Amino acid sequence: MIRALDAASAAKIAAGEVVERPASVAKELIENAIDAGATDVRIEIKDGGISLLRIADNGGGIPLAELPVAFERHATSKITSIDDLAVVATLGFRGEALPSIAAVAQVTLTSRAAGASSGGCIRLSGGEVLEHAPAGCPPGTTVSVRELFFNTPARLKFLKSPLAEGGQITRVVGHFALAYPGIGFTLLSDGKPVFQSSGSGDLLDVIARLYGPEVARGMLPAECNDGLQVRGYVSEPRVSRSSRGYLSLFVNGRWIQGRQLLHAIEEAYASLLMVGRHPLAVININLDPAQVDVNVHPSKAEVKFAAERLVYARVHQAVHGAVARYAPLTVIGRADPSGSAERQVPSAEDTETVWPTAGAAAVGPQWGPGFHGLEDLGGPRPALGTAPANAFQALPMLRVLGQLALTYIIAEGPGGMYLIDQHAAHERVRLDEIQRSRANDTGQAPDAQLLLQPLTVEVSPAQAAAAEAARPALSRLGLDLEPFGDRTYLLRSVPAALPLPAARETISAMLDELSAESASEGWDEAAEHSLACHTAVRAGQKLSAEEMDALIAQLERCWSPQACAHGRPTMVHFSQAQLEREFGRR
Amino acid sequence: MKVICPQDNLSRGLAVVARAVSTRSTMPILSNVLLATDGSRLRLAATNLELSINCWVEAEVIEEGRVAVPARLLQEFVNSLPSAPVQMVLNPANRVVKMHCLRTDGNIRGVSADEFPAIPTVEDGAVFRQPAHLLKEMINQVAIAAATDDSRPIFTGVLTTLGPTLSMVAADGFRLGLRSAELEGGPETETTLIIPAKSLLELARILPDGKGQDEMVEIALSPNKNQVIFRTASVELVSRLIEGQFPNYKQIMPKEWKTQVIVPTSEFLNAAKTASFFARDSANIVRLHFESGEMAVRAESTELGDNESKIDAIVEGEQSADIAFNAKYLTDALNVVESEQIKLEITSAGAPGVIRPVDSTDYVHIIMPMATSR
Repeated sequence: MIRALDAASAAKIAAGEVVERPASVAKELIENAIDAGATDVRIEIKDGGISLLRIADNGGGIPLAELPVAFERHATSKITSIDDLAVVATLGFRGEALPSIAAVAQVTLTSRAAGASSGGCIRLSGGEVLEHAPAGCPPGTTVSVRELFFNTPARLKFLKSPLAEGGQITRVVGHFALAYPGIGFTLLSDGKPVFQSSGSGDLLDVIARLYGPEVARGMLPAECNDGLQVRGYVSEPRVSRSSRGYLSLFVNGRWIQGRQLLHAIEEAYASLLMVGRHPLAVININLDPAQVDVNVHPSKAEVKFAAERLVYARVHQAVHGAVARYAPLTVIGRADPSGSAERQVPSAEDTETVWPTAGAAAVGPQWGPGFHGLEDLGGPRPALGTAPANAFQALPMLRVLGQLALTYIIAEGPGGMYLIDQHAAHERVRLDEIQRSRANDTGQAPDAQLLLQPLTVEVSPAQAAAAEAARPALSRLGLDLEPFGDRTYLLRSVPAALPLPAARETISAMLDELSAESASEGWDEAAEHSLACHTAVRAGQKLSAEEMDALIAQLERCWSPQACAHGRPTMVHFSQAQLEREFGRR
Repeated sequence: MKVICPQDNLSRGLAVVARAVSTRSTMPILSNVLLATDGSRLRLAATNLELSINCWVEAEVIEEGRVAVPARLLQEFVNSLPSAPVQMVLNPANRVVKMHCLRTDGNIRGVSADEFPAIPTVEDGAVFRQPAHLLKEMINQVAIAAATDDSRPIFTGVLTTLGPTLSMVAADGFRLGLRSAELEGGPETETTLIIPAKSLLELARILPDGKGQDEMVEIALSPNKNQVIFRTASVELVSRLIEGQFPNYKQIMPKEWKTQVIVPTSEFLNAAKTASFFARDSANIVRLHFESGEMAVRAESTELGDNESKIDAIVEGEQSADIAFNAKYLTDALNVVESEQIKLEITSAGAPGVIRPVDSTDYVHIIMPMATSR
């Protein structure tokens, strides 16, 4: 028998979409606070927000008479009709949050509207208004949510421990603090302060409070203003984490998941990070609200861009620019740091679209005066800058002592002993050489040495697909392969920097590697890395003292001498202190 | 064996054969040098199986005999001796060579000469003769173009054609050197050999230079045609041959040119060397630009800087042209052209450049250009 659900049941079900756990309640309420123009938001939780979650702001407030309306479904002050959805500039707009929360908890809301002499209070339980009366309170709105899911035991059962739920809330508050450096956030858990941001407007300040001053010192400003605005900070490659949890992305002040864009950020680091390591990043993207659809999912964690590829390219460009500026030598190899992003985004229509950014900037998070302009950030940052801008790039002065296991170079430096992986180090040197002479992004030909007589290169059936797909990328490196019948190519030139004596073997090894990767995009990078790897000295190769000295000298001139093309470290450092401890000298 | 030999002669002879001494540990006998009396001379011999060198030094042979002794120790010991006669006496019972020079004595423990590999010689068969200084020049002009790595063994060799003329060709995939000269007693039918460039360079090192000397080198093939033998009055060098088919180099030789430039060799070489310092960091690219009777030699490095040298040139054909070469290939070629002026012939920036001496047709050096975007 089919029957219509009663209002209470329907409300509970609808609430389930918005209110999954205490953290989603916190998110909705903080968004409301921000939309109300608050500059100070206090969040107080008990038992991970399950027994109490109170959010107090100093925003615009709600007049007493409108209080019950706020708890009606799809009631909102933020949009007036469906047409507004296209240009929605506030965080919330669906008018679902308050009624949904009220349906599954006991909610008390006190508020004093700006300019009003007194405020009001409304109390609900399970969606039913219990009390609606004037009350004395400070300007702004305070929402207390108690006994969440008291009337939906099934959902209550699925909540994690208070500790885990509290952790989720901390994460949410952290995201808002990063997106809105101009707003002071305070989080108290069971009466103890967990996190506080000053609201000074300085994003770096928020980062310092969230991740620690050490991390903040290792952050690089990233910016790109081309069609849309991308601003934020990314970590120096030496500062990394083992999870992607430290990558925060915001679109018009809204935290989003955006796996594609996270990929763009990590892509920009290319080989600078070890496998399994991830950068820290706070990236704010501001664009015309008409160009982004946030109404994809009730929690709004997923958004849709009208021009996904452009956004991807700009994020990549901003991050790559930051990393490249930080390691100045890259700029020589790739005069235009946006280049690699452009290459992967060949779509003409996307790049031709130019959006006005003025509107977007106005509705985006307010970048307070503390947020440095790009000019300030190019150099060392006086406020936090104790580490020199090129600390990572500089290699200590090394004196080669010998070779270990025909694989590692033992060297002495000012700080103790260094073991250098000869293959990894040479691979880095090669990669630099290759990138220097490769075709640049303006479509110019690479520097290449032509062959006296073309060399026939035969590929196996397994390599054939990779050969065809990677051919343009290879030719941009100077490996000019011309189809010559069935699975046969004529090699007409080799990269200028590498005479490539065993060209056939090298190409075959590269194709094996490339076909295993089956990368549909990023052939260029894959080919570069593969070529660097296959032309570098191998482990097990005996090196003379002169060869080792030369390798170290070349490595010193590389733009990121401490990581090989695949992101593995090129060297391991044993400090003087460490050695002394081992020998019991102290 | 009992021999007396001036220290200088012995030292020189050992220096000649030392280059064929093997340092590989798989056959310890190859790290020895063979001492054997041969009439009124002492024969020194060393081999690494690929290359063998015999050297005869004048000596007073009192008692015949032969023995193999550690090459390095013997050479170092002899080099340290004063310039005076060195007496060597072999005790056949324990194969110890007792050496005596003025007031210095030494006993070097040797091994049986029978363990030393036989070095092929030529008893009969065709023998060709070539002036030593000419052969040396030919080798030096050609062998630089040979490959030094073993990835394609054929290119580590020099294609040598014995016929009415002696011609030598070497190439490494990027450049090619070709030299020919009349061969005294050369046969009507041509024989081609591929001789390892390494062996030829050792030969060139041994051969005397100076055109005034009229010493001749005899060239012969071993009976089974897998070794070539070069013989002078006091040295015999035997080299293994490389088997395989040398690519048809004739089809690579450009048949025409669009621009021909005549410039003084030494000026060009100096300019190329200067440019090579700047090119070092940018894939060794040296750019040549021809314009109204002038050749500009340029190099640039984004990091270091750039340079340009100008040389007066006689330009024929198209007056304006550009081409880029690897600095090393260019200086290598200019170093060995034995001519005051050279001709450089080019067709396009992507076609081989040809360097020839201006006064003869017997040397050609071809260099593939570098493709660059600038």
